[in-house]
Amino acid sequence: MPTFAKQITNNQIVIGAMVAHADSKLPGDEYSAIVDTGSQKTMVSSKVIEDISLPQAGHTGIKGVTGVVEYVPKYKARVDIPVIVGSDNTGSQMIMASGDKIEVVAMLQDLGKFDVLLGMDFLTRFHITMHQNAFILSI
Amino acid sequence: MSDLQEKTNEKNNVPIKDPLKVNWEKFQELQKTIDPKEIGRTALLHKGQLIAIYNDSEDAYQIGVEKFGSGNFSVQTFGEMPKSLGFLATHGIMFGEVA
Repeated sequence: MPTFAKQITNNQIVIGAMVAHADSKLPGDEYSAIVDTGSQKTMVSSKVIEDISLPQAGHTGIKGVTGVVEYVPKYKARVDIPVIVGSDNTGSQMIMASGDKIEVVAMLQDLGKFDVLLGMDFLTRFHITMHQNAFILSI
Repeated sequence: MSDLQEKTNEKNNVPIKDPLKVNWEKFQELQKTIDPKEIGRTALLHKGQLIAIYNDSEDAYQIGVEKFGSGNFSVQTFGEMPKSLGFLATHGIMFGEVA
């Protein structure tokens, strides 16, 4: 099973995620992403939306910790995590843990160095293990 | 939000609503009168009109792309609950040093 593993540092899981149009056959530009199991929704910064001109696909309801519901634009995107399989001896290749045609919304707050917040709608597409400070994603 | 701002027609200064906002308003109207059996199904809307209702939201999206092009239509699911964003996404605050 192709697997991606990343050290968890300071209780934060930070990985590279590639974002492209939902219908793109190729992975997009890479952005710094943080994994957030507390969010039901994957979010991207306004910079990502502008960079790749993500097309809007309607509106969706979101609810912060205050419980107030807002209806905001939603976008269809393809979000990939590159996974290297194989070894130097056998030759390695990159495959994608792909969140194709995922609905994303714009971040409500600037998360500084992070342009993508990977929520549960993305994470539940894969087999995820967190064990001894490692985040392991299997396809 | 900023995307919901209305644009203005320069020629006659008449406000033109964002096409996807028009779709959203139509969908909200539909939600009030929708047959309960449509809950969970997905509407495809274009220029404020209901085009069709599909069982699968991916089908609705794909047909929308084929008929109208990306960004020119809305797909809205009846009865969809708002999604909870949690603390980080709501407040943008990370405690401790960022990795």
